[in-house]
Amino acid sequence: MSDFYPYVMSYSVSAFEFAAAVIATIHYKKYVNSSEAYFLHFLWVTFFVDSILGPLIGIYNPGNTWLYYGYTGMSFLFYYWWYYSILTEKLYKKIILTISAIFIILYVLNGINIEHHKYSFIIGASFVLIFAGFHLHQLFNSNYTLIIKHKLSFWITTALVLFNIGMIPFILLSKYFNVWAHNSVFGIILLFLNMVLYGCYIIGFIWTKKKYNHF
Amino acid sequence: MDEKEIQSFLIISSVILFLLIMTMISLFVLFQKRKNALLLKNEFAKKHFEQEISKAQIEIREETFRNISWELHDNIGQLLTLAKIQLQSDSSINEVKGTLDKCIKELRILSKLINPDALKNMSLEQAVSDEINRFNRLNFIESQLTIKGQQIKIDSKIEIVFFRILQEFFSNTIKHAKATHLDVILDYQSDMLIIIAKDDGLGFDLNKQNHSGIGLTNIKSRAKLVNASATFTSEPNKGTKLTITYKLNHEGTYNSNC
Repeated sequence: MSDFYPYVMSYSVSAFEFAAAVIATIHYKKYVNSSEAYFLHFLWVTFFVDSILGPLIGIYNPGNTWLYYGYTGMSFLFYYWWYYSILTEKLYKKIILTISAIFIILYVLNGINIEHHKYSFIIGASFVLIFAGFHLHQLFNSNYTLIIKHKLSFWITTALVLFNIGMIPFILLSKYFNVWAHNSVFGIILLFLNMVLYGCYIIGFIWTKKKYNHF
Repeated sequence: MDEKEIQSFLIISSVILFLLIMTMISLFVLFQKRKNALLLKNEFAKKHFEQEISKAQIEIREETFRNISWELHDNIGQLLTLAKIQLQSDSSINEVKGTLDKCIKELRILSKLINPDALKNMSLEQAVSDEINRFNRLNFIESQLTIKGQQIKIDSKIEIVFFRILQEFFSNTIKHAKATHLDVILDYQSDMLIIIAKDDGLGFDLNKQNHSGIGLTNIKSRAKLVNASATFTSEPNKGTKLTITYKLNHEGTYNSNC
């Protein structure tokens, strides 16, 4: 039983990643003219790295931590770039540039020691939350509020907020209680958070309308 | 899984669930509140828009009454007086007949122009064209209307606003500008309608003039109401030019920021 759980959970996460990428591909025309178009590529890369490349490398070399660390850095920088492109206020853009530079420095410094990798995630995720706040503020002060459920960027931001707001205490508390996700029961929390993340993406791709995705 | 792990699991999952639920509720409440506020604002803007349209319609009607009164008194009345004088001075029957024919013709044109059904279904081009013809017919001012490009049907409420703006401009030209020529251009471009009205009258210094008296502010705010922009260019003794730019295929008819 205890051997069975990790497989189910690992495959379930891959299934969510795959479903989100497929649905993003089907509805691509609706958001092709916006910065969100790059999420299609991002989701396929995520699926490829997390579900194919990671396990493949894992077979020959159990230490595939660097692959995931590299992917984590890339994904955060991708989110920062995305927020940079969709935010209109200049002050926000400047803050993103500064914070991105800080992130890169801390990411490299933390990368030296494998034990510190999780701090890069916490720092990166906290920055994503800040930028998500900027974007929600921008949406909040626009007429998009009236059609918010059709706005893809809102769903992506909601997904990132919910995922990261869950992930940050999860990592911090796991360390505090000295338990970790390798324990399959804790994997349920990870699965749940992934479900929320990709669930929001999927809802966003299905509900979005072309006329609202133009920047 | 020992007791400590179960305890940790419960604490961690409770914290995460609590945070997720709080975030979701906060997002929902915030956006719902904002949505209601926006809906109220839009409702208010819509009412304001409707009021402005009604005001413009009333003004157009008042202007029409003024024109009828003027035409009856100064045009048809004059012709009838002329016919009476001709009868009293024993002029030939043909001369009196000619004057009366002219009078009947003017009366017919006037009757046709003020028919409520015709006014209701009139397009912007038709309304402007009638106005221009009237100026030429009554020798008010030498006027010309040019329509460029493929005509595109725009919302009748917006047409009313544009017509009222033009009417105000014409009224200023006739009353104050001492102009001899008036040119109106309706330029339909693929994504834009540009309306230009210009006269060769006295003009004014845009920097010095108190604009409120001649309705410049009114014209600009009316244009803004329908998401159009109105700009004036004028110099003393070089005439005045009004340019209205309206982006076609606007989603909303009215401007909620007014």
